[in-house]
Amino acid sequence: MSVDDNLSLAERGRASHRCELALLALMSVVLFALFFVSLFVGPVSIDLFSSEWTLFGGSSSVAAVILQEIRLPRTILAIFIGATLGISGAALQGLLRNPLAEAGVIGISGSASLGAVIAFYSGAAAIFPLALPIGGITGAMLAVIFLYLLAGRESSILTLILAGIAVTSLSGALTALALNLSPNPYAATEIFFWLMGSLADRSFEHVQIAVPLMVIGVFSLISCRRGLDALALGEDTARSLGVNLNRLTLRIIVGVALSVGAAVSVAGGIGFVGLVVPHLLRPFVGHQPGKLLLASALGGALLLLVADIAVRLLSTGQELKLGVLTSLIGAPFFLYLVLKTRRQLL
Amino acid sequence: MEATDQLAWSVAFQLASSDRINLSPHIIVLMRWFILYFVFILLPELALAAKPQRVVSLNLCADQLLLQLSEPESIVSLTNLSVDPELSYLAKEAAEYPVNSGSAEEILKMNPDLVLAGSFTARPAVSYLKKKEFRVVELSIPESMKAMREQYLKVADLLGEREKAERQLREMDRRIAQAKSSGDENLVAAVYYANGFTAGKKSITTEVLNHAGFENLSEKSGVDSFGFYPLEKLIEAEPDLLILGSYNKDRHSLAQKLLDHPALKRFWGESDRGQARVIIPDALWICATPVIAEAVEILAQKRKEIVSRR
Repeated sequence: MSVDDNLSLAERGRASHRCELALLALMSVVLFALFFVSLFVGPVSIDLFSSEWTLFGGSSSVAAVILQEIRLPRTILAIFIGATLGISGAALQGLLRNPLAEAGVIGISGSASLGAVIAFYSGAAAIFPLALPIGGITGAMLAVIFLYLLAGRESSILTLILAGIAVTSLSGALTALALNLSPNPYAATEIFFWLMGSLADRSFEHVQIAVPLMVIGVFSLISCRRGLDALALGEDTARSLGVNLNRLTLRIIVGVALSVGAAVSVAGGIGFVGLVVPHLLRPFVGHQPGKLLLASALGGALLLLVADIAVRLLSTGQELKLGVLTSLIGAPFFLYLVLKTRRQLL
Repeated sequence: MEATDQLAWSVAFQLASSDRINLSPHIIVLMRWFILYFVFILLPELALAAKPQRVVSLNLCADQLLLQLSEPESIVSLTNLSVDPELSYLAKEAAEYPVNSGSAEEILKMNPDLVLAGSFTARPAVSYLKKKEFRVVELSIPESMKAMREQYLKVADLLGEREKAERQLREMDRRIAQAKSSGDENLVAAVYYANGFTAGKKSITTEVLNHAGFENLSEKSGVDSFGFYPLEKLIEAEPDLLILGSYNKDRHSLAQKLLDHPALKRFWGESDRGQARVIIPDALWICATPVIAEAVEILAQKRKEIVSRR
């Protein structure tokens, strides 16, 4: 390697670093702006300038109640859930070194739904509110462990996807069964929420039970960034760089289960965010899995918040499920990725 | 069955009495026998059939009508919802009867002489039973007290219980007239059911509210008979009375969890701003029968409370 090459590599590194920082800054600014946009989109129009002050006050005007009890929790959930879905997609793709890995595609969301459904309809969540996210997290954890044992780090792309289809089908069937066994006549129709996901009429109760767990999950995943960067060079290289692969794997499994499990338990299984976002952002962070984590969290939050605003703008009657919109974007994207990686698949 | 019998009867009669057509004496004799058969055997049977002996219900509201109108011994089976106290006002009475889940197979085995069905429920069974020439009567969802009365009397006629029905309707009128309040404060009430649904202007619910002295919030909105009403819109409208569907704490659904939303507690909760909330069990007015008088009484009482507090 000549000196020139080294120089240009270093320059390229700096350039990519600048590019990454600019991207993060831009996304943060847009996210901040969208946070306010989201507060003012809904069936009731609220005057932006007169009601801004009622966001945290104890006033009980109509605008204050709508902002504080309905739109603020909804916006907070969209941001945190989007972030967890984005970052968990990036982490799974890094760990499994599989471009198609995503919580929804490989069945983690479906399994989390099943856990949450059992916790909710059995009445456990009514007695002990944390039972809801715990149910979701348990479901997600079982799915990740099962998939990891089955497909592992070095398996083919196809094995993982097929195992994911099996997990999704099984958990979907069990979810339908659990809902049908419920004595409540409304329960059976609610499978749509658990499969597609929605943020309609969520409240601060949901923020309280899910967001702290999602934050722990996200931090657990961000702490893996060096390990993931090293793993991108191959397992042997990673080990020689001093990465404890078992601990890395465990941290990612726990992080994904916590964040996806808690997210699904309050908003249902919103698909494809973790697939689309990391792929769009990867070129901007120099294809480094570690750097991709934070970017994907921001990107996921951005995508889900935009989608949630769009759902509110598009719906006239009962709201369109949020997952319908993300799947409309995500499923064709998934197909595109399949075609792109076809050579590897065959 | 009935129609074909009647047709045969009239044809036979015309043929037998006609002297323009030359009929051989044998045929005339045969015809007479037929006529005798019709008059003395088939007709009494038809007359008996007018009061059905084996009635099956395929609809929750048909259950309620049957339980209130029919002789207990002619009810063969009610729907499985009829025993659910949350939905069925007469759940205790319904517990005496076998329940069906609305499948054609079950009903066929019961060999009913009258099937009461709703216009939206158990559709495959209804069309199959009709094809098999069972007597199926479909009930509509009455959109007014007038329509409710008409349907109630129609079913009573089918069951041969007109007097009973008229008595019950008079009792209902009496209770409603007694409950009616005379204040002229213009109060608005909103009904909020599971999943954020509300009853619109073309519904018996609106009439019940009017009788109790309230205007229905959704009379002004786009909701026609029964439709979705966003939570935010409900809060914006600040109705004086918020009427929630019943919510059973032991049977969980996201649909009913909405009625527990913290936003609803801010206005109609503990902090008193002159607004009230009341839970009216779905069973009381999910079906249009004379028991809705009880809903009028509860609401009229609530109105007095609100007015006295102001």
